[in-house]
Amino acid sequence: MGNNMKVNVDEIRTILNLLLDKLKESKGNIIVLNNDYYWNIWDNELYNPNKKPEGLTLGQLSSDLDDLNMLYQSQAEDATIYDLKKMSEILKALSHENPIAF
Amino acid sequence: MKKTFFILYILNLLLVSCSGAATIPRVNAFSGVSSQWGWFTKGTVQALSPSELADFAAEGITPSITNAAGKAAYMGVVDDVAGGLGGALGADGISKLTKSQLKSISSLEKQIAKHQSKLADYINDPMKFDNQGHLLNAPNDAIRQKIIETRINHLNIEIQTFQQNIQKILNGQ
Repeated sequence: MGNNMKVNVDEIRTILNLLLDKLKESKGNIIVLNNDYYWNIWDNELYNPNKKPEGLTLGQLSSDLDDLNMLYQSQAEDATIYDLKKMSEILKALSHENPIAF
Repeated sequence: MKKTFFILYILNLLLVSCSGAATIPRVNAFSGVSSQWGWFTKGTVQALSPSELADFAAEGITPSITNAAGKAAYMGVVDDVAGGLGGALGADGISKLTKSQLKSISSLEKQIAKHQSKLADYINDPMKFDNQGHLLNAPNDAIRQKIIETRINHLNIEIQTFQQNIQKILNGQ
C-alpha cells in the first residue's frame, strides 16, 4: 500500500500525455463540454470518509477553462497549485462525458 | 484554440512548477518584497527596520500597504513582533521566505484579485454566466437562488483558500 501512495511527477506527466493523445485520437483536438456547473467538496470533507460531506459548493467548468486559458496565455507565469485542481475538474469532465472514447 | 493541446501544455507547465523551484538564501523581508512586487507603498514599510516596524506596530500605526498580500505580510510581522519575530522573520530580522515562496505569494495575490473580480461579476449578473440555462430553467425561484448562493459560496471559499495559503507561507508552514 505504501508505494501506491507515492506520486512520481514524471510518470504522471507521461501518463497524462499518453491519455490525452488517446483522447485526441478518438475525439479530435476540440472537445465541447456538455456540462458547466459541478458539485465541489472542499478538502476538509473530501478526504474524510467518516463524515458525509455537507459543505457542497458549485464550481463552473467554463470558469475553470477561462482561468486555464489565461494560464496558457501567460505561459503559467502566475500559476498556483490550485490550478492543478481546476485542471483536474476539466480532466474529470472529459472522462465523464466521453466514457467510451478509448 | 486547440483544446487537447492546450490542456496538455498547461499540464506540462503545472507539473514543471511542481518539480521543485529554485530557492535563494534569505531575502530581506521589506526591501526584497517591496522592490520586486511592490507590496508596500514606497517610502513606508520598505524603509523600516524590524525594530522600527516593531515600534510602528506597538503604537498601532498601520503603514500604507497596497494590497491584501502586503497587508497579510505586515500583519504576520505584527504577530511576529508579539511572538519574538518568529514566522516570516528570523530572529535576526531577516525574512525566511525563499524566492519561490515570494513568487507563490505574488501569484496567489493575483488569483485573489482575479477571483474577487469574478465574484463581483457573478453577483452583479449571474444570468450572464448561465451558459446552459440552469438558472433560466430552474423549477422555481428558491432553487434558482440556491444555485446562485452556492456558486457565490464556492468563489468566496476559493478566495479564502488563496488567502489562507498566503498565510501558511508567511507562517512557514
